[in-house]
Amino acid sequence: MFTKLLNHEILNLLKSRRVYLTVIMFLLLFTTVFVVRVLDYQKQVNQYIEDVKVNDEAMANIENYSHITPRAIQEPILFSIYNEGYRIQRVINIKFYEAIIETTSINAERNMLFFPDTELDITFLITFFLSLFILLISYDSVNGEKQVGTLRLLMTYPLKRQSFILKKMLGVFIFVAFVFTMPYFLSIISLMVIYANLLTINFFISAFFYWFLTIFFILFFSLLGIFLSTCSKSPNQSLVYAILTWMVLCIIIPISWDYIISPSLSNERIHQATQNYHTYTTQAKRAIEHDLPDDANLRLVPMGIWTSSAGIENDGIHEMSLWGYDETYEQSSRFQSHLYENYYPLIRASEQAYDDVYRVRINTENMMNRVFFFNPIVIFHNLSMKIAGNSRVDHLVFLHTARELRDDLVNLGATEGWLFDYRFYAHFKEEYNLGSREEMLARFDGDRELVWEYVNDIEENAEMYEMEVPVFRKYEQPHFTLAMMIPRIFESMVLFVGSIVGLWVVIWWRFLGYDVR
Amino acid sequence: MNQIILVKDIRLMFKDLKFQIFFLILVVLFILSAISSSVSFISKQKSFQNERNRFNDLVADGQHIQLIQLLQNRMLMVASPPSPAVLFSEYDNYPDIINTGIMFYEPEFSNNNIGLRRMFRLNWLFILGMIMGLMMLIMSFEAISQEKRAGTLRLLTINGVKRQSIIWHKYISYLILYLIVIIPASMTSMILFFALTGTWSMTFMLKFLLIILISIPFASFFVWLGIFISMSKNHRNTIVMVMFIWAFFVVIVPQAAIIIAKQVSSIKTVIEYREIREQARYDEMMRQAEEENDIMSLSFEDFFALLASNINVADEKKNQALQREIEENMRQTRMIRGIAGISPFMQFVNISEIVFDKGFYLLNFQQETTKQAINQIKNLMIEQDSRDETSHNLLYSYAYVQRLVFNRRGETPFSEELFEHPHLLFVTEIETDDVPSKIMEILMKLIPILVLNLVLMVGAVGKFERLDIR
Repeated sequence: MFTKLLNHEILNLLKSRRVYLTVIMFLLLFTTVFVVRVLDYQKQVNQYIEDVKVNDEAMANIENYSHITPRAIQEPILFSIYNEGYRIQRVINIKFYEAIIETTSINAERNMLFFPDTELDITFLITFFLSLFILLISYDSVNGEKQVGTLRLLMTYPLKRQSFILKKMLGVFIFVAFVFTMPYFLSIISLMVIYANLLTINFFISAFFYWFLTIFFILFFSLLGIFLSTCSKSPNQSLVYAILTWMVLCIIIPISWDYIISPSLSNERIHQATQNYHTYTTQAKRAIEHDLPDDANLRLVPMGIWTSSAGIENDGIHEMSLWGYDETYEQSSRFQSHLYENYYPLIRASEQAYDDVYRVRINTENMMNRVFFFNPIVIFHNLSMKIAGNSRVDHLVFLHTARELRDDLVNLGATEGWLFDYRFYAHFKEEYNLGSREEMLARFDGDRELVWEYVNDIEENAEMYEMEVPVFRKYEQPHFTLAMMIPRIFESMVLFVGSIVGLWVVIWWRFLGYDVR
Repeated sequence: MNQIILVKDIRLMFKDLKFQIFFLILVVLFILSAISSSVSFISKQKSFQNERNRFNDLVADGQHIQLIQLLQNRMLMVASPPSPAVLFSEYDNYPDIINTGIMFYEPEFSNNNIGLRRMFRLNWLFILGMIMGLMMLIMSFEAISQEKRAGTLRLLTINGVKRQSIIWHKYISYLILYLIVIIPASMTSMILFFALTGTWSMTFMLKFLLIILISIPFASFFVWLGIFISMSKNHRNTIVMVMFIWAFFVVIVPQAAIIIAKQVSSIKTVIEYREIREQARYDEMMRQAEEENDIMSLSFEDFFALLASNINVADEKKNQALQREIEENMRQTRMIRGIAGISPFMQFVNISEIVFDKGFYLLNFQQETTKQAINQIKNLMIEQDSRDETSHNLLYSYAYVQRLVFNRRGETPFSEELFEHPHLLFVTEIETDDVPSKIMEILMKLIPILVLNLVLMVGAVGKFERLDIR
């Protein structure tokens, strides 16, 4: 009897023109969004390949230690086709003394006049359209039967009320789950064929958990639809309820959190954290501009023979490469140790301060999950980012990894010694060292023009210094494991399951006392 | 008779549960939007003030090094101060600040608002543009089918009421309903916003009223659409259609426009553009180097003056390349807007930009203002320079030359005197079109939606004439 009813229910759904329309629209949207996202991903992959090429070229053309600026380049995540997440830019330039607080891009196409924000991905499709479609399919599942009179008829059969509501729920659930699962698995298989060489275990873990989560999502909304249909007498009324509920869950709750609750909770703390960051940056700036001791000030030594300026103003990037006078090189060595001792710790402190901004935002997001535990759209949004591996937390982890690489590099320079000595700027062989300034002037009888000519001569003809590139760690993309995934999603998953069970109990209780006449 | 029908229509709608719920939602949304916009307005005002103070401090810090930095870096800033228009929309797709070097218009666009990536915002644009379309569709999607089902439609025609007047009364009553919902809620929201921020401005009140007036044709479009749909046989199937049409206009078209325009009118990557710019500059420098043979005969000062003017010319070449780049970006942006313009929602956004002097509309004027400011400052500097004995041609010897001179001679080529008009480096007043030409432009932009209205109206009335009302 039960299976018969279930079969009947699903067949019934298939015959309805409304369901028919809904399914076709969903499949159309799914295909469109998927194709668009794959095209976009292909673009990202191309950019990534270009980025890596640019980086490799730069690393191959290193002329001295000061030119070592490795980049941490993150490979675009294949699963980002389904869930875009936060990240847009995936490159971090690792420079010796520079604070790493945000990512940049190298080969990106960026329209400077228009900052488009697209949010169109499969996650949006599920949270926005699928939820609406489920409600539109199921809003009249109980009171529709009541209106036609079949409900009364059914209740005369030896059939428990529980099993009636269960088969209603299962009918909608199995139908929608099938409608979602089919294109989903097809798309996964097509991705496996197209990007066979980019597949990692990450992708399969993400894909499985994402599917699992969507099934829960569908379950919740089919329950909700049935609940709404027991709440009012006429289907027309429950239709209004359904659209209203959907609007509240999908639009009003998220936006009022984003624009009212979240700013009032976090703005003050973010402001404080930014203030701290600015304090450290100002201190750091002072350390290289005002508090620079005379014996480490590059402006006070003759710089006439460096190929370019010491560039303190230019964010501490040093491009001096020609051999200089002895004094100059000693001064620059002291300058470097001054930076290492005074400037560098401040930079790291400023990074720590800036991290608080990220932490506040992450905390507010997690809090939203807990506050709106009854809203599957909020939970799905948050969880899908954690599953895909492109949440704010992952962004922070990326920054941390890049900082570790930079610290390693700086420490390597300090332990191996080249950070503080002539090799850091060396561009020409050691034999072209000019010696002290006095000696040089004496050699040319104090004629500056002759010195200048001599230096020009070196610049044109001398042999280059050949450096041994130090062995430093390169960026490696972290990989998920199952053990990493489960603690990430455990809490939200429990909330999710809890709200589903709660809803089920409410429906059960409600339908037991439902007037079927 | 006609009046009775109209009044009855409206009264019936008042009793409708849909209407009551929507009215409640709208009031709540309007109030919430006033609160959230005032929060964002106040924080924007604060950060704008901070930025201004920072700028003034930098300018007033009487060191020549600072002046060199001003010249070297992009320190002319054109930014419009935050306006109460945030209540309507933040327009954060477009840059709100232009930074540029003082010597050339070499802009760097920046936007302070990027961060929150959500398709739905909490402001009037969201309510009037998105929710209102949905509301009018849901209100009217069973306008005819309901009466047909209840049999009252047949009754009405028996009583000698013309079919045309039935459909017109439906339409007018929905529009009146729209105004009844919108006006009190939006006025409350507006007054709340002004009270919370303390910016009582008559101009903006009028602008908000104007935007409500402009929203009427858009609401009427959705009403006609709803009436048109309501003539289909199965009215419950049509709800799926309704939702799809709404999502198509509000979500899919604007999003798809970005993706399509990026494919069709693609721009080069950041790196390629930079290479083109630098190449233009380098080529010009090389050309000049080939032309001049007797550098050795020049004196030190003349040599640097020559070098500086050469750099000047080369930078101008680079600047021309940059202009072409901006043109290409502009072309892509226009294409995005053109494709998105299919959706009445995006047309509404475009018109509101003109009303509030924001977004893409403002961008053109911002660029004009920046160029004018640069010229003014340049002239003032030349004038100041000619009075100053110690300066070695301040105007020419900027940036690059400054470094060379610094390095080779160990002294500064600049006068110790500050630029006399530092306030000019921070521009906040950007003049846009005058009122009549603005109104003309708005009317021009209203034509497409009016035409759509007309087409739907003719279609709906025609269909209703031939409708089987049994």
